[in-house]
Amino acid sequence: MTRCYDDGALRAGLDGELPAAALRAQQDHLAVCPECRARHAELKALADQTATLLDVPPLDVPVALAALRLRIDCERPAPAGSRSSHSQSSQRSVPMTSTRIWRPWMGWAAALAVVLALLAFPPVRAVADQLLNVFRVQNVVFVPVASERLEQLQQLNFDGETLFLSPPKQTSGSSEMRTVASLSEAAALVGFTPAQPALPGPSSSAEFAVTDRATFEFQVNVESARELLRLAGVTDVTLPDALGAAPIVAEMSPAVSARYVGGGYEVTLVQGVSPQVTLPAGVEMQQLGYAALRMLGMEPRQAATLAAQIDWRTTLVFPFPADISSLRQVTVGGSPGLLVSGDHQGERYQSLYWQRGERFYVLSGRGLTVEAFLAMAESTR
Amino acid sequence: MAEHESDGALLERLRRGDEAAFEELFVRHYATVYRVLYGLTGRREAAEDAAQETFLILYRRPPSSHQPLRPWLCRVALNTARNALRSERRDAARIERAAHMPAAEDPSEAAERTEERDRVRAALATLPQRQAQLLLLRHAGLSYAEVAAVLDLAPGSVGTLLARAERAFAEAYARFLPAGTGDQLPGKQVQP
Repeated sequence: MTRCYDDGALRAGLDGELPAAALRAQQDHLAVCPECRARHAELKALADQTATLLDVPPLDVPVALAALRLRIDCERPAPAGSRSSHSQSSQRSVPMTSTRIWRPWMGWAAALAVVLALLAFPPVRAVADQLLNVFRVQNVVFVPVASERLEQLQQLNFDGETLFLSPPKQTSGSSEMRTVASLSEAAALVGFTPAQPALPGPSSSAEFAVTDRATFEFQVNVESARELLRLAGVTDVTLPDALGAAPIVAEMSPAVSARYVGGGYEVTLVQGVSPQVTLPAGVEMQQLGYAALRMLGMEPRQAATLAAQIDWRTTLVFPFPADISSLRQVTVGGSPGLLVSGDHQGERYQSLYWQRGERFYVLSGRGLTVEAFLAMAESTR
Repeated sequence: MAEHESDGALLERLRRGDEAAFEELFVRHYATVYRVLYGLTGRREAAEDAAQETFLILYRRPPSSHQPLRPWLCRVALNTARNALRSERRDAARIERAAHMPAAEDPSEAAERTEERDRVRAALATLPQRQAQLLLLRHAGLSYAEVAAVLDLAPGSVGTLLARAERAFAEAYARFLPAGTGDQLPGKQVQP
């Protein structure tokens, strides 16, 4: 009989990690050596048990790839220094060279309205910047939206009114945005002292408006919402019947909007507290979130990944036009903020979102340098 | 596109900025990297995060095309996990994130799975670090030569070390089993 094998050789034999001739010799030996056969069986049982215990839950590689893609895309507009040598291909997903006419203000409003239309908010009445706040915001996720997609959505042959079974009605508070004469009048109405930015120069006009605390209720016509998705080409979303089974309740907190126009600049500052939205029982925010992301033109896998990762109760999904020239994280008064800037018909525009305590702020402006704009945000007290 | 383009050829393309090559490499090796990381971290989220970091490094700083890619990725993954586990202890927010994991179908079944996972983790933690890494790498599908490359071992020693590691792991795992269930271990079953 040939010599016996040690554990290492037997274990390698189990994995086929021996040259063919050595493996054959080992098998011949096992056939005639009960002692090695027993150890071989024991090693196999140990290997099998280890394999079972170290088994991993099923994983979805395409979803993981989509998530990484998204991260790479989102991190792309970072300062040039942090980028690798892949800048050549970096324009694939975020086309920054688009020359399409893009009206940033309108675009933002439209993109936000799309998300909200889906959540059955009264999209048209609402003031665009105010819409930023559907959720109690703790985190912000930024979703690039191609301007082509926004145009498509705006051109849908769809009557927004049919989206509601019972039209949005206010169950408490006062309605609409009210123009007020001064910031102190606004303060008296909303119950907090609005912060004010230091303006870069004297303003020729200042307009103030407030929305009061109010509760809205509305019931969704699910069939109509499904039709909207179908028209938008989103066919992989099933909206639950429960969505229309009970009213959606939105408790809006007071907000103040101030618009200042001066020599060569224009800024608007919106501030308020996030509203609270209550959905009918059985409706998952995640599901609606997925639908919203798909509406915005995101691929199913990306949308699924993102929808699953987001805590929809506390996260604001912030659609931004994919052809803006820059998006970056900044700090405003020690709090993280997001600065979006770009050029529109030769004019620079910026929008900045940040939060301090439970209050959110959205500052939008044009005709200013980034430095001046950030300084203004920083000065907001 | 070639169906079985080598890792080296894909790396060459990736280094020239070819994103399709990156995606191909990702699809090819993600599961391996994820398995190693899942074993190290014991949690899906943590494993996904670390795997993403690993591939981000591949994307940004791909190694030379002469370098065998799988061992390279696994080395990066081991480092990433080490850093992640370290910073995780400081990062309480993560714990909150983990709390938002989707609920499992059956709570008792889920609890059992969680317990088994915890036992596996605890057992791995009792092993010397390199022994645990050896187990994870091999059971993630690396060949002996690849395992040897990651851990700087002689390829010929992998079989012996692996047999030893699996035995140690089985014994450690048995110690964490509830009393009375420990004698189902294969190591004991076949004792002569």
